[in-house]
Amino acid sequence: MSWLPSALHRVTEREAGGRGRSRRPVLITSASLPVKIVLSAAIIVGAAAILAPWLPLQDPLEQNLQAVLSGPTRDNLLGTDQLGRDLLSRTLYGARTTLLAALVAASVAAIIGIPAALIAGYRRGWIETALNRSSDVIMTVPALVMLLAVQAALQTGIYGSMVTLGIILAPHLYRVIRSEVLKISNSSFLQSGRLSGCSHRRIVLHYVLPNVREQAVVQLSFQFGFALMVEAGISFLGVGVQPPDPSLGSLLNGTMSLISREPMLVFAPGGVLVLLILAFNLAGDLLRTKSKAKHGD
Amino acid sequence: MSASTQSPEVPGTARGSRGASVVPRIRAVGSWLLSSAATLLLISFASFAMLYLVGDPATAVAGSQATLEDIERVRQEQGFDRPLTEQYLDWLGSALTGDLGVSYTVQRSVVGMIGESLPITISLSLTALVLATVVATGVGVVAGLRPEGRFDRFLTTGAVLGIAVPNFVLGMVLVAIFAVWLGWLPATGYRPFSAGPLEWARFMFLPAVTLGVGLLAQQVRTLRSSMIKEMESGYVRTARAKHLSEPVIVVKHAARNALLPIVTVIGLQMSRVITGAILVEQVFAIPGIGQLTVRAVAGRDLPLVQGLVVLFAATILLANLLVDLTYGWLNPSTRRTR
Repeated sequence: MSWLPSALHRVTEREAGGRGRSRRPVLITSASLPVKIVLSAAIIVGAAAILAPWLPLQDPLEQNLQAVLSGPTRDNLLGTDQLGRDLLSRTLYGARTTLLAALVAASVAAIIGIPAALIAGYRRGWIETALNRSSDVIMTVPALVMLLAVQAALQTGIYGSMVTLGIILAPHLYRVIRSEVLKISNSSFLQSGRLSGCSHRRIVLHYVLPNVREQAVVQLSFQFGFALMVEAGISFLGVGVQPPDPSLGSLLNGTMSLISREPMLVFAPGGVLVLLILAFNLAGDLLRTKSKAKHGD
Repeated sequence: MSASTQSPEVPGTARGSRGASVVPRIRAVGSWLLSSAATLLLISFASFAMLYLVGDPATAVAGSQATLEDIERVRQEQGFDRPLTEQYLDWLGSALTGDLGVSYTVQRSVVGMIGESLPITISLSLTALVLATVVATGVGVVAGLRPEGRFDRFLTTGAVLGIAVPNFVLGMVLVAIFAVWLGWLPATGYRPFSAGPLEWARFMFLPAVTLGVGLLAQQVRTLRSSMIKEMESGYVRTARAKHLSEPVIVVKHAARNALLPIVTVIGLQMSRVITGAILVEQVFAIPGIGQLTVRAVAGRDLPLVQGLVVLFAATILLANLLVDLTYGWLNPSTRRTR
């Protein structure tokens, strides 16, 4: 008789997973042309940024006071900054730092937000009330303000700030995922899972999780874009990545006075920042449209 | 957000006529006061604990040149060695009488410093919000009339861009174009309204536009989709069947209803406004709350940071209440029983 529950598991789990598991790589090919261009450009720039240490670039910290604010030349394709450092190299290294920082924030948000949402939506009761309440409280303080306060108290540096940002973003993720869990909490495949004697753990991981995975990816894509913006923001304010290390935000810090002499100092890091944020937002939009089309709602 | 937007509407709804809706309104404000007070207490305690327990105020007061003995002396003099709850209750006691302590860096009262820069930030934020909402109302409604039309496509693309561009980047680009290259407007700085409205507007225009573009983009998205929805609804079909003219249908029937969600969006945008103002003030060297916050953090001015955190949280809570009340006032159907 022991084959029966496990066979049932497989059938019902396939049903449960069916909504979230058609692996067709339609993401980029289904997009309109401008979106395709933005996404491709972002992938190229992003890849160049992540691979920056292995690319034939100049040292982003090496100063050359002979060639200050040179403008584009053959040696410095985007020109140099006020200390003669290569702007192309600094922008790519800066994008690398910003991307890694955002990755930390998004990962922390996922690690906290998704399990909390699964537990709250599945178990309900006091634990849900407590989690709802705490997410309300966290969302009352604007993200940037909370980051600045934490920075004043702990002086954690950029990666500490990004862990904090992850904690701040988690409630937003929690809210969306929890409501997705609630949507399927009365569905027949969950009931049949329960009837066939699955453990709670198995139901949550194999029945519930596959159904909220798409929404989680959509939300995380938006949060990644937001985290890029926040990292650049706090580094721009001078409380994130500290000079001389480049990040897309710290590169923009202090360039206001130089904008008339060398606009590239603003346009290069600013443009890359906008491109990356745009790409993550568009990817989120695309994923959402795709999942809506699939479920017909 | 959902708990705070909905809960005040639910209890004690007017069972009878709409005219009796004063009582639930008072109740809503009462329940808002209770839950906000609790939230604010929690936030102020959490931030106090973080700043004063982990932040080690004695080192912040004594400065970077201080020896260990200096720090220890400050710790005892200022009472930082007392239990945290005692220090917090002290702070809370004076906060309730309108005293948020004295700044470490400039030896002035925190309330005074906030009071000085708050009007500047409020004038910046309000200008940005009003600009954004006025423009959004116009273009959002028009875009929603012809979904997928040329204007709509242009606007939707613009909105996607407007949301993706961080406002400090936008601010720098606008300065480069309008102040440096064209020389039409001053690059940075601030003039109070008392120096003359025209002067004030000249300095305020670029910062307000910078702050407003992101808000505008979000509002346009919401308005456009709610307008599309309203135009497909039954009452619009009825109005068309009655041979009402299209402008009347759009302005008097559809747009009025389509504008409702914008109230919620504006409320939700308060957090974005505050964040944006901090960055925009930095770009344009405007001496408002944002600059104060950045200076407080850089100087580890813990009483000032604590005061600012509470101020921002209270602002968000107040915005939530205003959204609930405005929504109930504009949309009578939310006033009655569920």
